[in-house]
Amino acid sequence: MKRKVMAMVLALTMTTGVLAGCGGYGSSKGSDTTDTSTTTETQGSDNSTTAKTQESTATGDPILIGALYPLTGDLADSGKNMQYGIDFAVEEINANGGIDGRPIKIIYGDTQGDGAPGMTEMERLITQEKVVAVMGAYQSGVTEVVSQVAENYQIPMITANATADSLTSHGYEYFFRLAPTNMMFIRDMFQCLVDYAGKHSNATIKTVAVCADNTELGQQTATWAKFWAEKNGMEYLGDVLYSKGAADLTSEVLQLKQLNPDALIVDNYVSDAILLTKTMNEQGYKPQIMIAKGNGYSETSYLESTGAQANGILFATEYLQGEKSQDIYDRFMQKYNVALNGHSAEAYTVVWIFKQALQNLANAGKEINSENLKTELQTIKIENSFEGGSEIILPYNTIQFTDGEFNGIQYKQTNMLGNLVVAQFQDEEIKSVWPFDEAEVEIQYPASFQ
Amino acid sequence: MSTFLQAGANGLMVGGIYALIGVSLTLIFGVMKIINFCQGELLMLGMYTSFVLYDQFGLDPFLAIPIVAIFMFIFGALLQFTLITRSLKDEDDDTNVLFLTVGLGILFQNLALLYFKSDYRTASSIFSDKIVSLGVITVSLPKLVSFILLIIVTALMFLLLKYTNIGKQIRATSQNKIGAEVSGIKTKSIYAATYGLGAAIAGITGACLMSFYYVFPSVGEIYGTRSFIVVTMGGLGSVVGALVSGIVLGLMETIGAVVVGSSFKDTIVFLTFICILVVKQRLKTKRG
Repeated sequence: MKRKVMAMVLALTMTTGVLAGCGGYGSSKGSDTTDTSTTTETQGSDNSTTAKTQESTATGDPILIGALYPLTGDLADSGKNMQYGIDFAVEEINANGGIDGRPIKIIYGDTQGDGAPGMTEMERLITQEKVVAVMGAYQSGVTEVVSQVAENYQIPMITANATADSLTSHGYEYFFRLAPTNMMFIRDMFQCLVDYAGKHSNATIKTVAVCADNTELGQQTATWAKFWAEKNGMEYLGDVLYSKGAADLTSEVLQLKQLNPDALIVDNYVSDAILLTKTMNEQGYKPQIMIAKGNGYSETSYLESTGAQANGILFATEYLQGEKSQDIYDRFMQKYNVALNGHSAEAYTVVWIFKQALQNLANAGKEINSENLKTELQTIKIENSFEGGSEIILPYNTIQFTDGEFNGIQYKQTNMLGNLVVAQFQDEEIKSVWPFDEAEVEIQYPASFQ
Repeated sequence: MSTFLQAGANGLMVGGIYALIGVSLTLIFGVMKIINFCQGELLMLGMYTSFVLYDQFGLDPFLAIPIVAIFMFIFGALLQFTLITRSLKDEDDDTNVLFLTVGLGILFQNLALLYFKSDYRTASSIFSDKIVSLGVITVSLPKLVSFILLIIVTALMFLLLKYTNIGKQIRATSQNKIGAEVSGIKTKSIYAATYGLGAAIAGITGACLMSFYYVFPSVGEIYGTRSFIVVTMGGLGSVVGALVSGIVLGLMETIGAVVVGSSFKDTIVFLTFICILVVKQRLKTKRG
């Protein structure tokens, strides 16, 4: 008995010893105080958000919008970033009177980065919280399954971030997409290469190869790269696909070295991106030009881990600081102590799209419900800036959900006018380099990797 | 040809890490017959220890090895002493320990997630980003140093088990616990010491890995599965077997990736593993 007690005590001290420090390890992002304050809001409890709305001018009956993001689990950090973007927009909107005095209130659902809990949370948001519309989710795989639930319940849903092309091919009436799709990502990456080669005679970009993981997204990258290479008159030398979360990428780099393309196209999650960059350095492989799909390369921990080895790598992303509305970027930074990134900027924008659509309904004297909101979203066209808000902070000036088709793939209710910007790591900083007329600096060619 | 040589060299280096984590598991799983499903998490804890030492005190991951090893030894011994020994039954029933270690693994992972967040963290060493060229082959220096450390650790473990008093006691306990107790061996302390040793080597592996890889809460999953393959292929409890099979595993991965393509890397590894398991069992039954 005595022993058992001792064992318990020891076990307890071991765990509490660890837990004692649970304020969080000196994270580079966000201070602990902001962390906890947003977590309370996350719970979807009425107190915090109502308290906030009471301060603002909008005090009417709140309009409920659901937001499904990974708030726990491996992707919690990314989820939190998007949550900041959403909260930031909501605060702006409600401080300016909301929609005719009615504040917007966001009810969060936690997907845990997985489809099954995502579906449960989606059902909760719709049936119990009775939200009028939903935004989310972060990953394409999760968005795929939860969008089906929204469609069944006839609740309009906008995805701010999901890029898989197939998401908008199901003919769903209630599903809208703001994010540029994979096709657009690769299209713009190639366009950047073509533009550069067209402008500079010293750059020859005739052959390309791809390095990506063998997930569905990675394979799509390879497929689109092949398509756009042929369209642009380049030779596609092949792809090197590996299992996500690799322990070692030396063989992959050796294969790339053998293919020796003029331009290397990559799409990796952050862990693999760090490993690939380090391995390329170790194996002395320096392609003239390397361009990545934002993905891992736009995360802060990538640059922190690779440092100067990243210099010269290009990546396509949804948003870059300084391009437009530096003011929003600065205020966001001040409030949350993290940078507004592509994903949070998109999430921010989606809240404003909802606001604009709801405002339009109110102006037309229509009732605010899911059906009317869907119809409004189908016809809405936002140019340059939001009514009573800022300009569109993303790299495009028009937002409209239209139907389209490209290379046999249907895009329904997608913002087909979206495009990307390309940035380059120079002196361990992110500089925008494409489109040229909005670029901060010239592309460094060939890439130095040091 | 040079590609193959390079792939071979890379295989040796990666295999070195697999071998080292294999050696750590073979002590726990092979010698003590404890199915330890949190070996990957012990590695993860070793990596974070090394990272914290680097981050707070600027200690080079390689120089931090003694501290990490001692810390992990104490942690492992304490874990064994307080929890694992108590869940061991006298009969040959492993299910208790199995569930316990799986649970511990999940606990450690989530504690790390809570405390360190899901960020990827790296530490740099004086050897970091340095490259050694031998003719057509280039090898990164931290990997080479880790490989040399592996050889030293394996040799020490081999000698310890074979010739020292405590090594003999460990082997005796492994062969027959009751017999060992009858001969006056304090099996409980031996269990704790062995688990501690296993954890310490996992810690050493972690510190080595830290010099060229990155740490995140679920990093253990990548290495945990492979450590079981290494131990099973190398023969339970055989330190030299773990060394050889770790290196073979690394070579299979890198050369296999060059020959048949990266997507099939894991396929080759697991196919070979299954074949070895079946053939081994066959040979065993044939011998009677």
